[in-house]
Amino acid sequence: MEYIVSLETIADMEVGQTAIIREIDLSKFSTRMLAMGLVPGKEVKLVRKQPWDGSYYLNISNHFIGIRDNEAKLIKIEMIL
Amino acid sequence: MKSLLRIAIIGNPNSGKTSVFNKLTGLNQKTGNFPGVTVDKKSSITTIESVGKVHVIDFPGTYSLYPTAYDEKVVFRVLSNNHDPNYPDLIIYIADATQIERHLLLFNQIQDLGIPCILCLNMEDLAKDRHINVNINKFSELLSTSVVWINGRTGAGVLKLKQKVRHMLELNSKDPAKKAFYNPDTNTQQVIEEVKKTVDCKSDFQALLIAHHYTELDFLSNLQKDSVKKILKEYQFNPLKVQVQETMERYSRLQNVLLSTVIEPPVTENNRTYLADKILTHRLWGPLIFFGILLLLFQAIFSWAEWPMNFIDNTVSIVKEFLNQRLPHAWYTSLLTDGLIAGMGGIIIFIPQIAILFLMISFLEELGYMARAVYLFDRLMLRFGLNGRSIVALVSGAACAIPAIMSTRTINNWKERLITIMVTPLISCSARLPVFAVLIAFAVPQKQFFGFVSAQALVLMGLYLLGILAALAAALVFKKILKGGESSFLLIELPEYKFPDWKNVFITVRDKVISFVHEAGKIIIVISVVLWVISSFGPGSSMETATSEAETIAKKNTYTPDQTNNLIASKKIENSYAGHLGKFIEPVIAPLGFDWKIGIALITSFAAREVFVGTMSTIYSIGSNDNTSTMREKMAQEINQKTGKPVFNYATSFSLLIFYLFAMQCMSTIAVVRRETGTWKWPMIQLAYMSILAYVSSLIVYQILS
Repeated sequence: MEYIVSLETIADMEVGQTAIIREIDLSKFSTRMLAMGLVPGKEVKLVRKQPWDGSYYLNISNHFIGIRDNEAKLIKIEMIL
Repeated sequence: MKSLLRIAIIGNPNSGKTSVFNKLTGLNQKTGNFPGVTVDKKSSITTIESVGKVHVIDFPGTYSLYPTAYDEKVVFRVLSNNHDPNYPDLIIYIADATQIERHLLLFNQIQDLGIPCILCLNMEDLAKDRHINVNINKFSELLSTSVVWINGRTGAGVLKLKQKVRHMLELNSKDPAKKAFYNPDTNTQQVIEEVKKTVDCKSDFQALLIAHHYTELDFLSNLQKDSVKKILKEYQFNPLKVQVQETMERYSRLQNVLLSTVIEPPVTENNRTYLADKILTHRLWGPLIFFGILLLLFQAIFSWAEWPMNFIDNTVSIVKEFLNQRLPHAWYTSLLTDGLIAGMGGIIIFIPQIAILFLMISFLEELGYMARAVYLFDRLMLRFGLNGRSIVALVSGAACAIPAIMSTRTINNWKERLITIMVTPLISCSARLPVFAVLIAFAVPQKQFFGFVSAQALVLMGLYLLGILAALAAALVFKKILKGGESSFLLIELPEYKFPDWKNVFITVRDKVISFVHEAGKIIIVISVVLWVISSFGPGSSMETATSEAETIAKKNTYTPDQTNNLIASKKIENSYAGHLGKFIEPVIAPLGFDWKIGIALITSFAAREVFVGTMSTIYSIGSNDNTSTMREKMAQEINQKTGKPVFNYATSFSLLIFYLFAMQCMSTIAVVRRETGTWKWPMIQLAYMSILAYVSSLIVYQILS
């Protein structure tokens, strides 16, 4: 597998894409994100998005999480090509 | 009294914790509050063989000891204080075996507190289906804990768990200074040492918890808080950074443990949940299905609840009549039947609707669907200053605002929670329905469209929609006015769909009904006595005069005894304190199209809306045995003495409908809002804005229509 290094976040992902979580920006929600399984090194897939900047449906090793736009921007990823 | 040993049940949300608690304790549960906070505490006294009685406490589910939601905070509050009355002697930790890594994080933190722990790997069946293989011996050795496989749904493993509990309690293990899993860096370690000098701590990690949360810990004295504050400043302690470091370190160590003990085959995407969500969270089908479910919910409330409600109604009248006949004809009989029993009847009549609504809501919750509704509507709710989680409160509000407001505890952002509390009473609750039912007949002719859609039903639906719109509009206004930009988040787990555990559903419904009866009951009983006093007594000898006047009229017109009694009751209420109050407020309500008789009903129904119907029937001298159609006839004949036109023309009726739609005519809700917000400020603001909204809207409606 090949990786390219970029500073993209989950908010930049297209529906159906998979990426590797690289970093969680430090915020009030960091520990909650980590505790819910959004852990650096894990694969994350953007399964679907609700219309009008709606929430994101993520799949992390068959564990599903709903997050908002501004939360997605805190999660740095590396797209899998 | 020797205090019992305490066992805490702790785990992540969706770990199946509640099922295990229910299996462990049976129906013998008590719901109370954790001291000082409005967080439900479920506990039970259970007997463990050869140990005796123990106190089992179910803690709210939390993801870590650094939580963000209000009710989750109880866990660190209790665990960071080894003198807390709920501080456990033993912890039963429930982990979902299909999500071991994530669920072990909190377990790992708790273990570092030095409290004896048993780790339960729950959902054994699902783990087997997925061929998840755990080398239990090595796993338990590496984590230095006892481990039990368990299935909370079937109860398999519970016996073994009890044996382990017995074993642990008998050992009375003082826990031989286990090495902590997490090793903080030198700076953090120094902070820990300093904190330990200030506060008595059982473990290093407890000191670290205090360092993180000291501002929210009530057991610390101001002096202690000040010293902790100084320590943190001295060592330039950055709580968020340390929390993230800690969490990452725990994960990486856990991953090492799991690597050598757990074999988990890669999962495929085509599981049940994944496929179901393709439709249920679809951008178009998702909301449509949600509204379909809502329709079904309302259908259930209104049609299924009708039979038990009629049954309760009839039983209450029979009891009243029976007591009236058997007991002496005196004031205390009247207080008992017209005051207390009528008041109690007014509460229990709503139990069927509330039970049915929460049966369906907790079914959907157990199924895993409610999280999807939150996910779907979060964005929309956000625009109105609410939160996706507000949807649960708003839907529950259709039955009763009391449990609905209590359900907002899951909303972690204070402003969003407050706005949800403030607007929920605008959603038409079941107590408005009897009022709507009486008034709609005057406002709308009995016409049918297309042969089956009745005009009255359309108006009723319109009223419900208007309530929802008003709630959203009010939310928008509060969003603009209220300050405090505390950031809010969604971050919601979308758990796997599973068939509901009926025992959990049943217990939830039972708890909701009990809390409703308890919350609404204590206020309505008091108020119904007050109302009985102001409508049974009048100034001076006015009541005697009224009685003799009525008797003279009755004699002249040769009334039957029943008719005479009804006339006396009506004359009496006119001359009572309530009647005087009604006349006193008449100038204020006249622009809305209301006369003093409606004024009396407005005053008596201030405590609870549904009282309106009862008061109207007394004022229009209708016996309690007559049905609503007689009442409608009488009301239709009523002529306004000033204008010479019928009182209940459609302008007044519409105006009154709108008034009851918006006005905060519910004392119990005010009390619950006071408790949930902790001050009188918010319920008073709520009462004021809803009353103004009701008055102004009714004024406009009446002035346009008349």
